[in-house]
Amino acid sequence: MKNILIINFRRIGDVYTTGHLLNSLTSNKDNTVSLLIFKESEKAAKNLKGLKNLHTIDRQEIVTLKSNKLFSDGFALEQLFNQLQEIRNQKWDEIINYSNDIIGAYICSYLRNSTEKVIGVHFNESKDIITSNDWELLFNDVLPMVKYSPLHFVDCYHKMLNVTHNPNGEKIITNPNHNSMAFSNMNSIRENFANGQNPVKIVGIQLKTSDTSKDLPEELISDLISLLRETNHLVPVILIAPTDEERNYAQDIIGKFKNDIALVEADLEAIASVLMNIDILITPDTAIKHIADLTETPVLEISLGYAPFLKQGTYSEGSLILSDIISDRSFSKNNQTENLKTNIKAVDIISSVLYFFGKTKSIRPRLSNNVTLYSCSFDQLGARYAVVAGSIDAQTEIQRLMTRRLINCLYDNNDSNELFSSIIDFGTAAVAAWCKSEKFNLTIVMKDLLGTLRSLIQIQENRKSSKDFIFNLGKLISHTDQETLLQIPLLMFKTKVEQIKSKTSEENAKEIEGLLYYLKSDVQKALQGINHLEDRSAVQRKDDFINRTPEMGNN
Amino acid sequence: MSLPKISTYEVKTARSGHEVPVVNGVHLHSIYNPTKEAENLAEAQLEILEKKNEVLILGLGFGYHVNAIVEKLTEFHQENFSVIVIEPNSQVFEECSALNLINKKNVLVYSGFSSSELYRDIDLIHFLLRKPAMIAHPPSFNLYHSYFKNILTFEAPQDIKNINEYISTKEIQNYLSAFDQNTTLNEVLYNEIPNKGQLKETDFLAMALFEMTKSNHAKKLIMES
Repeated sequence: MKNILIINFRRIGDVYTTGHLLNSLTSNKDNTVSLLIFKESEKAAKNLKGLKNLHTIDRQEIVTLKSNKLFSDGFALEQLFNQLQEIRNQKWDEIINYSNDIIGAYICSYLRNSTEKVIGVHFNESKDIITSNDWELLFNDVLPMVKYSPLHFVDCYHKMLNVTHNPNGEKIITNPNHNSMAFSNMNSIRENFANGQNPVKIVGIQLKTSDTSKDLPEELISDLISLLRETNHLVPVILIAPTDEERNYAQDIIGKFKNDIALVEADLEAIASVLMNIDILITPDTAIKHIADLTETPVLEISLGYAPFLKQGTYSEGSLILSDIISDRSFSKNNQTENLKTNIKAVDIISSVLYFFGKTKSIRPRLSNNVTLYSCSFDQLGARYAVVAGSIDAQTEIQRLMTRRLINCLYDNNDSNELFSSIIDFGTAAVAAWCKSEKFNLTIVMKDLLGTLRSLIQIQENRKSSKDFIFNLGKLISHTDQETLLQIPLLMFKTKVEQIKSKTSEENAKEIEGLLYYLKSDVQKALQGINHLEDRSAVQRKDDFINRTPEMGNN
Repeated sequence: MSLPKISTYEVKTARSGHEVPVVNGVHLHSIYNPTKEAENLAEAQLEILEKKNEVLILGLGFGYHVNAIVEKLTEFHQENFSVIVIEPNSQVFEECSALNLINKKNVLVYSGFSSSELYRDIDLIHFLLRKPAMIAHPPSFNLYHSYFKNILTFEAPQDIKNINEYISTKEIQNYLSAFDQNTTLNEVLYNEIPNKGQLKETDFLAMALFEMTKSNHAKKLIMES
């Protein structure tokens, strides 16, 4: 039996994403899982199914005690101590720093003596950062530097813990009264709109996020509602939280339709029941999206602003994501410019909804320029976003998928080529161009790597060569800035070099030498992957040539 | 800050027959009808009493206003409310209790406490952190103006020596005892712990506190400058 504590100090939406890991962990009946969060996220965490205990830190109270001159600073420390005592007095098998932030790292370090094992970033007594496997390094140090994340964060946590993702099972607690009320209300809507032809589909529209840069523009929502009403079977239902701000905003929109739009006001406890009774949720990046994933409600995520859908997008099989073409997007909050315009139009959203409900998936929606539709499916590494329709930056997409394949190969020892057919779908010419560019880059990196190795060996013979070594090492590490296939192994190498604890120069040199050989092996594996892709692409080109019609040949 | 000096104290009877304390020559309630006066005070606070179920009252007197407020709170929140009254004059409180004048349901009186004693009481601090409604009893507030002003503008001592007198947890007291007693917790968090070569268990807790509160500290510093 394992007694596990997950620490997640992030916001409500992120607390909900813990539900996936919690479900996977508790699918082993021998595991008991508790959660430590900030008190302000308690409402969300209370809805997660399978928790043994919920522990909270009242951050607002502690911050007030510390910042308000009326109170002694000592109370802040004492309250933090008291609020953690129950956890500290237990014996844990694993404590997981899920939020992977600095506060989580210090709390894990504080609780080190109460657990057999800490997973996720924490410190030892000498303040060195401790990580226990490559997946942790990948998550903490490598992926944040990669613009187009090849991996979903939920899957990273599963890999860090070596837990298999379990998509089945109830992940959220619902209230039977709310369930019955939501069922009855949605059923009434279905009956009211039934026309004997297409079955009525209820389309939930989530109006607001906690960040205006991620919100759907008001005009887009109005246009979307108009288009939905023009169909004879898609019924829009507006979803809001019980706040005056959202009520007023919803009223402005509904007013445009003579108040003839259903409005559902639900708090975090009731919203899951509502979501379970609609057919699809259209939403920006919100906590509601994460709840929909836990209730297995299909989602069409409209990813706007800096919403990092590639690492935190909707996490359920078949759900869809509409995004401006990813090469035009910035996923960093700091790089956001005000009033960032989106190319996504209401017609793109409705086309995607119709595609979702369509019986055949071979007819793909036509989208506005520079808009892409992705669908979520699951492979050996977890959630994967595949392009369904729209504008494509083929080089970026090939890069993203090949990086995913490389991660699978390097850190999961899985040399699967299952992604090749999706990659070749971007066109053999695009594949050829990508392979050529990557091979060129790989040759330069390999040259710099061998140069670094050579100068390292020369140090052992002549101390004066250390200057050359430092220069070569810097040159090698400078490649981490480039968005290439080797970015991940190079970043991993850099992280491990930075983590080397200062010892004798001979010991340091030996350790770096080992890392350089490890990197060399990674580069060779990357090259093998490119070669395999080229082979597959050549076979495809041959097939295309054999199967082409005479008309095609004349073109 | 010491407690206010009481030179004279007497109890008079109002026309309505209610007892009225007179301190240093100041009548703490109406000499005509104290309960009517109290009802008016509570009526003036209806909006806030409906919104908040926790109330801090500055000044007890003989508690007629406390009873009126409790009545309104019961109307709005049934049993789910609490009231704390701060009264500097112990004699007034003792007599009020002896005469059984206040409705003690959900009411706690802090009588005769100096501001530094009040701010050592963790239950009172938790109550204040929940941001209760604050209602001053005008005659008491004016009479003990400097006492209440001192409570409202109190600044807790920040040096480790004094901090250790405020807190009650042995483990934290022992931890803080290891630092220079004249230094502040901020000095410990911002300079001493980060410069330690080896961190102990509770150092990590202190660093977590530092990370949790540092932006507020920064804001505070900006405001102070």
